[in-house]
Amino acid sequence: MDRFVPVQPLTLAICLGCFVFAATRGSNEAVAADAPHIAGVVRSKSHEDWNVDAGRILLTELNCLSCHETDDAAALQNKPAPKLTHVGSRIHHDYLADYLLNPSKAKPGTTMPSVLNAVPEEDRETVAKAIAAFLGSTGEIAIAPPVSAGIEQGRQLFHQVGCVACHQPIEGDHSPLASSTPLPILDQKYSVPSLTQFLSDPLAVRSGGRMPHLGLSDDEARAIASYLLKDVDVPASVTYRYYEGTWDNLPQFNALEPKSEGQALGIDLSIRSRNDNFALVFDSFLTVPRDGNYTFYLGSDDGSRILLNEKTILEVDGVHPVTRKEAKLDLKKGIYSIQVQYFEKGGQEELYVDWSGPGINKTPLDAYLAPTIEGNVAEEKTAAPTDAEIATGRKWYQTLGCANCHEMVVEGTSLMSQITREPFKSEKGGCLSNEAPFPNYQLSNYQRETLSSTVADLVKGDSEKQRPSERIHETLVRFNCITCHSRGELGGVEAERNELFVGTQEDVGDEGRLPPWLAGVGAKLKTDYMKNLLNKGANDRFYVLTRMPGFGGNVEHLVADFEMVDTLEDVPMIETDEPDRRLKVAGRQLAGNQGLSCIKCHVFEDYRATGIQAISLSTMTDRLKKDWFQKYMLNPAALRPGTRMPESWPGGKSFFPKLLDGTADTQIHALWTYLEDADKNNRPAGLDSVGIELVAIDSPLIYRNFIEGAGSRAIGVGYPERVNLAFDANSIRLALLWQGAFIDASRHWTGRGQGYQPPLGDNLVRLPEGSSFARLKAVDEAWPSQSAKDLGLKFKGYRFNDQREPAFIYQWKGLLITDRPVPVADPSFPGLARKFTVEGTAGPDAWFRVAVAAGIEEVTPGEVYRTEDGLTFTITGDVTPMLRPGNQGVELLLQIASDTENPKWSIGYRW
Amino acid sequence: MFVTSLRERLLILCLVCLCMPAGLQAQTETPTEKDYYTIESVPTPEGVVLEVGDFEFLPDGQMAASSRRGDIYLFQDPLNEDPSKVTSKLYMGGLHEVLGLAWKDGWLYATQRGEVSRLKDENGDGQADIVETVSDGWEIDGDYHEYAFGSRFDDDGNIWVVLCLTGSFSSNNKYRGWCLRIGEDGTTIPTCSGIRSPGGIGMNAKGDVFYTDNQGPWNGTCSLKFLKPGSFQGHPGGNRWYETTDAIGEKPQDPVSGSRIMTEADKISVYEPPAILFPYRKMGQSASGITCDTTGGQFGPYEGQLFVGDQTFSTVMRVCLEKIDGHYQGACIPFLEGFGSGTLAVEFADDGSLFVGGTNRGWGSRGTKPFALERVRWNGKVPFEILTMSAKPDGFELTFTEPVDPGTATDITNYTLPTYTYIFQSSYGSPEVDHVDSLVKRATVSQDGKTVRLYVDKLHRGHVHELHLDGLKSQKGLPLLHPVAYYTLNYIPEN
Repeated sequence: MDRFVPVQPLTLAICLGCFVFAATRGSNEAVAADAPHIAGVVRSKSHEDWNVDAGRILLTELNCLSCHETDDAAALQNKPAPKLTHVGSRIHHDYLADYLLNPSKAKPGTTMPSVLNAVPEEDRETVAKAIAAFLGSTGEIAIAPPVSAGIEQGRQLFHQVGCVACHQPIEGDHSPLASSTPLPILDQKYSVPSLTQFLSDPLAVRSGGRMPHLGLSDDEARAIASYLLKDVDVPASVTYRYYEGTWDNLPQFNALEPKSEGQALGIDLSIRSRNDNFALVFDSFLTVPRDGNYTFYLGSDDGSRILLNEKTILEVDGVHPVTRKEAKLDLKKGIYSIQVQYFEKGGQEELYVDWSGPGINKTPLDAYLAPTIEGNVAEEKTAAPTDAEIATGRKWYQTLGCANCHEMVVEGTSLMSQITREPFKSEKGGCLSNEAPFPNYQLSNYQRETLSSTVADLVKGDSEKQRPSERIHETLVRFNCITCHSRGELGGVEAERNELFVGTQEDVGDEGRLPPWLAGVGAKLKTDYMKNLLNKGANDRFYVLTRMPGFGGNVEHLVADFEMVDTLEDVPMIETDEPDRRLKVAGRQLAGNQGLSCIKCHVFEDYRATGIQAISLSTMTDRLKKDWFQKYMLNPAALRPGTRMPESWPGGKSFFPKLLDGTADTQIHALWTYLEDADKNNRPAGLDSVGIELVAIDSPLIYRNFIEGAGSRAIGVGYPERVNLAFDANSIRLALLWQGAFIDASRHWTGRGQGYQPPLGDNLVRLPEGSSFARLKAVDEAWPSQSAKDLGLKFKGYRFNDQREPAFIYQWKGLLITDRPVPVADPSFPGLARKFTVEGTAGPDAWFRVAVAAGIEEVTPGEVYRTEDGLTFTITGDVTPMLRPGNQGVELLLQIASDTENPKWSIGYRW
Repeated sequence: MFVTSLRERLLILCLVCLCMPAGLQAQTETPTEKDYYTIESVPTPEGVVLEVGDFEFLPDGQMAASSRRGDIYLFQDPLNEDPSKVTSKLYMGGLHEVLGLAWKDGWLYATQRGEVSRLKDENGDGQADIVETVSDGWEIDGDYHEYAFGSRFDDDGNIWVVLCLTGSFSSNNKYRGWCLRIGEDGTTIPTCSGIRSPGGIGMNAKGDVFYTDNQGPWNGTCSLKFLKPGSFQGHPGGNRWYETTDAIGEKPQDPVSGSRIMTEADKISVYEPPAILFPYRKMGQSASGITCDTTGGQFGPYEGQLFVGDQTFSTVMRVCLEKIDGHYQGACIPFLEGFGSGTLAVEFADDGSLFVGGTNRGWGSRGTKPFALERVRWNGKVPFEILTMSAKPDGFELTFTEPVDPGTATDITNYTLPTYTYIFQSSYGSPEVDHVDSLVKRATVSQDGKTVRLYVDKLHRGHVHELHLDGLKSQKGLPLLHPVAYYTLNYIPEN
């Protein structure tokens, strides 16, 4: 193996968080920046009627119990602090040091105390750097620019899916709200990839669920990250040369003239100006952060090669689908020149260049590249942490109490704190003092007082076992559920935040944009559904853009507590002898447009409602408890004040007194029974979309549009005689004939007008494709395959007679041909006659093709012909019919009389 | 009884006037658009969905209106003082989405999705008897986006047709993404490339042709573009058709994605940068029909300016253009909102009223009706508005419809001038980028009070200059009806 030596030894360590970022957005002045921010406590402070024990909430949210023990009766569960395993791959290393030194400055309102209070002031910076060096040594953060196409989507998502239920909106004219949980200085803390990863699954790092899982897809998370970090400027990392040409192997690039060259963000193919027959060479300098064994990965379609310090280390040359190889190298810390060569012949084009190594999980190489040597060096700001510094940091981590709160696994070992948990000794002093050497939380006076009083109870051992209703109350405040939901007097959307909750359907009103209230929810939702909802989130109210997030098990106790506390009274007993099969028939009738018209407002599986689009009928019996449904249907507003859901049995009386036993209770029961197994096969009546059938009444109707079988420039004609045709103006031929209904225009008239619409009626006949007219030098000359246009025909439009029947006009070089279809009435099977006239003289070799079929029979010689599938042609006029074998079967051709002035003929079609 | 002489009464009145600050002399209610222009509904035939694609006035006084459903209706006495008395009759049905009408020599020309046709009523029964194909010199498939918008005739006897791409990105069928000129005899001349998704086409008073293009790939925001023959309009998706014609020369090099409009315009000589960028969500979201005020002042003081629809916002916007270094550019200013459906077609009538047709099919609009046909009339009162905004080497010159109050007009704190542009890129749309504020250092007022000259610390080439004049008052003490103008500064004049 080659020995690789850096082209430039690295004297300064690299730190990938050292790019210069744009100035950060201002934080909210109105929010007390220093004291820890717990939204539920902020709000409950001004709501004495909520009876919230703020001290108990502070106790868990500030992680007091990580260092202090309590009695079991208090039943307090700590908020787990963020996991720090591999934190170096998630958070910019500079930020870690800044944050440790002054937590509330880097993240206003943070609940992490300044543990450096235990260290003499003059040493704090050194200690902070050491701990940050240790944390940073656990990984490298991936860097990528914001995805510009996602920024607008991210802006919308941030302001719609629920972020602003807890955080301050970034856009719009909103005064800062005290309850808004401040964000850290995002562009100093995260890169686009690391924030994306966090938003995709916040519970992975913050398992406590205070930042719940919003059910964001990766693309959505990336869009929000791109929006939040849209001003982050990621510099170019490579210079490139772009070539065009055709090769089967990587060419000698030095002999070629590049088509373009410049700098690019990374090694990718977006620079290309075509998809085939091109090549790219990327040159850059790779920073190897520390000595060790590194693996390089190369994959491409077609060929590629990596050169490190001008020596080939990997190669997948030639034309092939994506082919991958890897190579392991021992490298010294330092900067290396690197070149990636690539070419593409045809088909797909792909190129992957990744690496992994000490502290680096497999990741694209781009983040470690700079286009110049100076580029790599210039970006270094801080000295590389030495191994000694990292070790010191680790020691501080374990002695300052970091490990009391944070879980961190390093090389398979979970780091334990050297500080042991002890009971509270007093309700004064310690952390409550904000003074050294205790961790400094920067507690406000209110926080100190309430916390102190709770601690006093714990010290005395006064705490009582909580009742379920109290526990519900406390949890809803602790997890800030109250920012979206109310439960009785507790919580609910703040007036100032109200307009931030938006829905997709303005005309549904508040029900279409505000999350539902939680009063009585334990009696409403099925146990499993509720459990799933709390743990994983839900989006059943798809029109409410704020999503119900998942709390990952942290609030699951609410299910049992809600069910314990919430009960329904006066639930009707259903007494009916009707079998289920009959109940379902009645229920289906009630749901449909001839019944209670549930489908006008509620969607059903994939079927849209005809009016507003409210929560799906298909999910009702999965979500709701039967008893609740039974009571709700009878009087919706009693259980859901302000709902637009109407009373369908006003005063308990049915609109359908003869249905089943005529009672509301039985009919509601029937509706439930039906909904339990309703699917698209027994969908409620009235769901199928309404067509727009065009009906010719007094005179023919024309429909020029995309008609299936007649092309993109089709001209449909529907005659009052209920015979129809479609003319293909692109290939200048009659394409389709059919009987009965003409066409449904709804496809083209209700949306954007795309797609091909087939005829609506019956008994469809397809006439031969290709030109109808041709000149044949000999009777055995094959019918030409060229298009009618190429044979010199032009479509000239149409002309109406007094009956408003169109005649199609074609020009065939010097000849003007008129083709007037005329309907032939018949009560069951109407037909059509086409009357042709030509201005001028056709000449010796002019032919018209009537039909091509597997078999054609001559019924009356020279006049009547019938295909084997029953299409009959009656020919009269200045033409001579001829049957002959053709490429696709038998052809029926007409030779147009050569010398007759203005020849005329007619073709009758019956089928 | 307390009696004063007339002289005394006048004196008191004068004293009262002198004591009142200028602003309070104005009427207490700030005027709105409705105080100057009225929007009235014109009845459409009962039961017919008339999503108006274009209007054309016929020599006999009738107005033709075409629809997306493919009908053409003739409206009798369209300028009746009482719009509710206007009646209409079907002239031709069954055409394919007619988005262009033009009258010439007894024929009504209609631009359908697939062709330009001409129609004539030979037997005088009010319905056309002939539908003649004039040109089908482009191709079309069943794609939703492959619309065709047609202009009126230019001085050389051509209709200009702009063809939307297949979808947003590519051109699967011939001449999608191009502008063609169609002669009366069907002659079809490829004229411009680089078109994405037109929403309308129209001419200025001089006869130069413009179209609107919409936010999407290579279009950071919606815009008004000048169809200079031979030009490339910015979206390279349709450039494959250079292979089939030499009508406008060689295929230009493709623009670089992620660049800026003027960076590319400086490199690609045939690339004509958008004359007007309509800032997204500020001015609108779907620029549509274009018409020019040649009403001789019957519609207000805007003679020669362009009026452009926005489908999403259900508005009509106003555009004043100038030519710098041979390129059109200028300012857009809000004009009138509150149309019933999504504005698509706009056209002036001889009496100076503006006909507006709307649809919200396929694309939503603020106007809630599925379709609308409306007429805008001016009541003769002149609103206090920015009349024109033109670029100077060191700032801008503004003219106003009414004399300005010199006090507020020379107070530079009454002007803010943020500037920005959009990324010129192959992916969809763009945020505003490259924000930098220009500073108005000095403002001077002309003697007649109708012109204000702004001296600016620095102009930013290629940026939209978004001028806010919220504090500015007229001599009568009124604020501007629309205190904002967006100037697309592609080129900075040298003198």
